[in-house]
Amino acid sequence: MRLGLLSLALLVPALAAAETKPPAYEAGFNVGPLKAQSLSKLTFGPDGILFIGDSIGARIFAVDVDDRTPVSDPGKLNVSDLEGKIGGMLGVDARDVLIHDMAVNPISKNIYLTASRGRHSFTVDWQLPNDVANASVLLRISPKGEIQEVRLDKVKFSATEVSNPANEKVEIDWKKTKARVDAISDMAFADGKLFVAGLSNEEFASTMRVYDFPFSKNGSSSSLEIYHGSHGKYETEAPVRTFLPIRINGKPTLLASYLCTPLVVFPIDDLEDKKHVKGRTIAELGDGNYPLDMVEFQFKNKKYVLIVNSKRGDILVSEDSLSQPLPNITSPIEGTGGIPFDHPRTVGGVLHAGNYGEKNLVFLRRDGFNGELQLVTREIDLP
Amino acid sequence: MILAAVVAVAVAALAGNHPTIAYDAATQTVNVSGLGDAAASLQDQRIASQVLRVYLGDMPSAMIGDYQLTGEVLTFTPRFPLLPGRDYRVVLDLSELAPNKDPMVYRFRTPAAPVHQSTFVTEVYPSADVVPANLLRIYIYFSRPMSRSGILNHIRLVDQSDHPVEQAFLETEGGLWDPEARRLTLFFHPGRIKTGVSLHEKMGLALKPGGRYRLIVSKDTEDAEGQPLGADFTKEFRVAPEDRQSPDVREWNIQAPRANTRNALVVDARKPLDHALFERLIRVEDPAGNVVRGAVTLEENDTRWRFVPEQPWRAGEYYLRAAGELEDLAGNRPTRLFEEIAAADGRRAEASEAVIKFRTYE
Repeated sequence: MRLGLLSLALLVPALAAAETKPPAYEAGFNVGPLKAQSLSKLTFGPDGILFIGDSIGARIFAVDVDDRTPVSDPGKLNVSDLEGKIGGMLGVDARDVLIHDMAVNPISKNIYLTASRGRHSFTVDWQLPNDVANASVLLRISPKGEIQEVRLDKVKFSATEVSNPANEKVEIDWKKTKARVDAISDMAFADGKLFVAGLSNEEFASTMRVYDFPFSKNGSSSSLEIYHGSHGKYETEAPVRTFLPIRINGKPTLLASYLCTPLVVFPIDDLEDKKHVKGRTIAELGDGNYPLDMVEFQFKNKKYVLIVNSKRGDILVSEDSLSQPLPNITSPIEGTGGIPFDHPRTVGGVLHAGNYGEKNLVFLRRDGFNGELQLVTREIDLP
Repeated sequence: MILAAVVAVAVAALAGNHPTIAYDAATQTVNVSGLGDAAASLQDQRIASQVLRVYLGDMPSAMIGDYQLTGEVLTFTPRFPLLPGRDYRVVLDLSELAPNKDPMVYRFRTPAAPVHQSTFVTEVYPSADVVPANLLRIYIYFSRPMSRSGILNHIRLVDQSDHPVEQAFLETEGGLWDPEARRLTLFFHPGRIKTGVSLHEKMGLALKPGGRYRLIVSKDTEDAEGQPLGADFTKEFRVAPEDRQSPDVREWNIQAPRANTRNALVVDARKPLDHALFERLIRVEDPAGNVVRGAVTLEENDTRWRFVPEQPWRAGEYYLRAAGELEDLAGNRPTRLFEEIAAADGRRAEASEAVIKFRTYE
């Protein structure tokens, strides 16, 4: 759509009036160009602060994206042909547009995506977007479906280092990629702390880092070990692909999942600096599969976690099954096993999912019939 | 309020102006001149991006980039390079500034991509014109990185009557490439080589002794940039009987070098060995077990291994170590055949490292 100049002029004071003030800790932020080498992972923190993980540059940025106007009921969203629209902005054909990550601002319900021109670069199976290209563009999709670039050449931000990240030279031969692209494999914010999963340059590469926010010093770093039932062995090499901070019977816990798809819990209290932490494998969700995203939501006073997958569909785990005595898988499992889970009806073809207000979820999904990448919202409704 | 006043001035100023739009291929920028006083309101990037929009082809949204006002000239620099040989559309929409003005549309086409020299096949191993019927691997080297997908659709093996040999090679997803995607390894289907395996019994060896064959890499094969090879590549060879003899390290002929020189050490294996393995799996050690560093080349159709040390040879003894994984063209290893027959007790010989001592001469 076209926004006239006069309406733009009217919009500016209206925004300024509704905008809540920036938080006091921003006194320590810089204003200037944010020079990231890869916009690898996104997650929202407090006060509309967007965390951007830069795996190649081994840094984490906390960015004030100037987006704090509350929207409680954003309505329905349905953006079709997302790659065509973003392709126009990047100056490439839709088939070259690659979306790397998605995060929803819980205050404004604006959806943030990172993008590159890299989709033609996939060469072998199992490559993920960050394996084949570095995202360099941050985009914002409003509840009205307008797509805008969020320029990073003059923003308010602070940054912290990712210490001892996976070495730039280490190659992952089976998928022709570099370990460094997973220096940051997922991020989440909870209870004043930023959790950052990824690969370090240590012998036990899989790592969970925890940072205070506002950033004060280097975060803590714990190496992770899990039993992988479908591989029949203990593993420390593969990174956590997606995780969520949740509470299990009131206890702060990270629910994490890996390629081929063990589902593991790590009590947050265990994540001490320089400790080797063993997770408890509570389910195997099926081999030959990437878990891509996790989202927690509430329906009829019960909490649920939805896990979206590359090849195993969307998987629903209920608070009920997590609050029972949890299994501890330590021997080989064929197929699936562990805590019970469902395959709910969702929109299909989901790559990312996020909360969109209390009653809706938003999905980045590819339509199986027309091939379009879309952003769609659905009201939460379980049988 | 202030902005409204600026707009009013701009409307008045624009009436007599005739903007000109131009694309500058050297800087990949779009420039609009002749904006007159309207230029003043275009200092704001947001306003400028509404007024001047540049589209790739018929894409639904305008490209992102930077807008820079220099005097009365508005310059758009796209964030990403423009694509070669493509149509672009520029829309200059001043209707908010001058209600009677229709948007101006200007089209341009970017120059086609410079044609670089086509990618080609540089080497094929085995390089000899005669290969055993139970040949295990073929290596194809390309001048540039290749597209990994669907490579076997572009490679044919045909016999002397031009009939394609079906199921000659083992199909693997994406093909077997080195990390750079410049060397492709083709494995002859092991099921057709191993006696007793159903594919062998049904179809026999892919290569018939006495036959003549051509390996053809089609000109449609694409490199990593999607450019096809310039021409078909063809390698012809004759087929000798099956080779079911282990390479015998004791038979190797070693031409020892002279001490205090950097003369080459030449090892004649008396039969062609697997190119990649022969190059990689032989090493020279001094009596203390230190590896002697140097450069390896293979000669005489991969029958000879030639080694030039970085430092001059010392007088005395050296050891040549051949790893157990070394193979000839049929996959036979120094102490183990590709099809090693089990002994009466069910055991099969395992390939093991061979060590040969030599002395430099003075």
